Amino acid sequence: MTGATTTKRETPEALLTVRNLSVHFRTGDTTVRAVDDVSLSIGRGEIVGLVGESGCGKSTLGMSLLRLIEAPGEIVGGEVIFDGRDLVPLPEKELRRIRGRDISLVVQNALAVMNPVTRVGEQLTEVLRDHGQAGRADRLVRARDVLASVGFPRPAHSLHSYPHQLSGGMQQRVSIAQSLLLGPRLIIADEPTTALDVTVQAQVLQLLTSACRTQGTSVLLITHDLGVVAETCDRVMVMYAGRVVESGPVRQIFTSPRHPYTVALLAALLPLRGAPPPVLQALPGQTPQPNEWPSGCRFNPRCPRRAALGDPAICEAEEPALRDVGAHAIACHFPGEDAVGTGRGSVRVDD
Amino acid sequence: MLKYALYRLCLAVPLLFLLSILTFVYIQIIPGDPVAGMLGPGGTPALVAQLRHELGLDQSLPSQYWHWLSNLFAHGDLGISFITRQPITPVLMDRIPATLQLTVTGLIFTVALGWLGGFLAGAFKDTWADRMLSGITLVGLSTPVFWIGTILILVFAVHLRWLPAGGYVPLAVDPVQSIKDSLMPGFAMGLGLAPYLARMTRAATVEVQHEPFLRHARAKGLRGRTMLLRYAARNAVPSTIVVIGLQLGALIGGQVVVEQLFNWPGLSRLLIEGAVQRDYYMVQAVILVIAVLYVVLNLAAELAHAALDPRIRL
Repeated sequence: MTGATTTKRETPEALLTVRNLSVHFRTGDTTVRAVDDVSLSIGRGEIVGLVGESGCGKSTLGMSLLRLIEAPGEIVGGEVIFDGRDLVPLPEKELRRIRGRDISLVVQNALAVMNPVTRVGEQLTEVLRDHGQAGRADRLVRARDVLASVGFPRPAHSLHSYPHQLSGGMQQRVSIAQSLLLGPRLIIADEPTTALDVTVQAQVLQLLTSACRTQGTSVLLITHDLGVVAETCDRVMVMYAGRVVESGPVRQIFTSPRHPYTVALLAALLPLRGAPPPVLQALPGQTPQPNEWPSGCRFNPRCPRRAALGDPAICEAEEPALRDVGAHAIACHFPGEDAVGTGRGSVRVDD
Repeated sequence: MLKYALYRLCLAVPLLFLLSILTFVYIQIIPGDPVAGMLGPGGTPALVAQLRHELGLDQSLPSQYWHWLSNLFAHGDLGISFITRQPITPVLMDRIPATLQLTVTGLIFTVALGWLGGFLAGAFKDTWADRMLSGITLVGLSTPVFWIGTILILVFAVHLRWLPAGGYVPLAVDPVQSIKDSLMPGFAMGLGLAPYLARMTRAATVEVQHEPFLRHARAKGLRGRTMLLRYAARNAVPSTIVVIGLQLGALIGGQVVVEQLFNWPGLSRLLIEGAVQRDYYMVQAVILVIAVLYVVLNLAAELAHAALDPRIRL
């Protein structure tokens, strides 16, 4: 592991700044470095995408921001500075007040995370109650209003529904309503639309982002869907094998990716116009297992650029730090050589 | 919910009908002739035939069953005892309240001890509280009811003199004394049955801790108490109601020892006496009543489960 990674976007008005965060899972003798020395920052009102393959550590990173990593996982180092306060050493009692109120979470499977035996209204009002908000009658009004704001045609009626009585799209709407309820400053959305129909996906995503845009809420959107990122995000971070390998403004990343992994990811998207490529070539090799990341640059065994450059030794010897290159930050020993050997490839980005 | 209740109720009717047939057939296939038993060694064949005719035993089985069933529905008449030659129904009516009272008291103790102990052990898994409760349930599971009952009598009746050692007063006659009478036998039954329920409740509670909705409850910043009661308990406890329903069988059927020990005039003793004396109709009647009680209480358990878990109401 090399020294501290830096990023230029660590501005004073950043809402969340993560520095050198590492989350490890220890089972027996093996240590899985699921998130390894990751730094990032999210500005106020900014929507940041976090993309990567399954198992790259993106969900673990999202959960660790709320310190919701379950044993045997553990934050072993780094800082999560939210609004000037480091959440890592914060007592659980104070953290509870931040969870759900200042930072809320939306996940993929809305039904599974709702209490199956209580009504929607109760699940909304209990959040308000436990955060000491409003009186009993007022809480119901607020619950009804938030349901109306996420597109429930009969919100007062839906307060009496049980989660399983709603459709998948409506369940996710309740989940979003709940995350917006206390006017949070950051929403961590972990694959919020993956479980939904394509038509509903767009609506739900639109709902989430427009609500955040109007309220100035920041969003960390964790997804494997590059299309979603292109539509909604201001900035994007690409994760590979527990590390952030490239980050930058969405437009830049999509038009001129610099890291060979990002290049390969984007090459896997079929162009909307023009003839499809005759063959979708797979990126050689497999995603490495989290307990056996390759030494040096973790992408090196599969890296087309390294192959094209004649296997330079440094790729296996030294882990590249995330460095600013123009508007991007990229973790590659040969950031400039992006024209070389990055022909069309394909990477599975399913979950 | 009302629809579900009606649906379950409708299902119970054919079940009860089937039960009545089974009870009737069951008693017929038990070896031994009641008439020979009643008359003793001195019974001549003519006498036996006469008595069989009087009792209707010379008719065909379906005809006997029909006779029995129509009398039951028309007059609530369950026949007469072969031994005392008295109608059975009034005797049963005397015993049913006593049995019900013991069942309910036992159930209250079972559920209170089982749920509380199991839930606490599950919610605080692997702590000293869990280990202690698990130890107690193991002891409880392996301790016979008569021993528990004897100890209870020694402690609470003989030494402390808080409760009577036995006996029964109907609830309507003297409510306070009646409840006092039922406390010890009910507690003895509860102690016998609670450990099993506690184990089930603990398992359900541990399982529910791993549900995504509990982790998400933390992400919502809910209070510990909310998560414990509204999330863990409300989801773990209903699934154990099925266990309670099954335990009711043990509760009703297992009263023999307790009734004997605490001199409690319940149905079980009537059943034993009847079986020993080959009092066919008596045994048949008691089994039927116990079966009906079991079905009705199970129905109540199922409805309670449905009331607590909305996903069951289809």
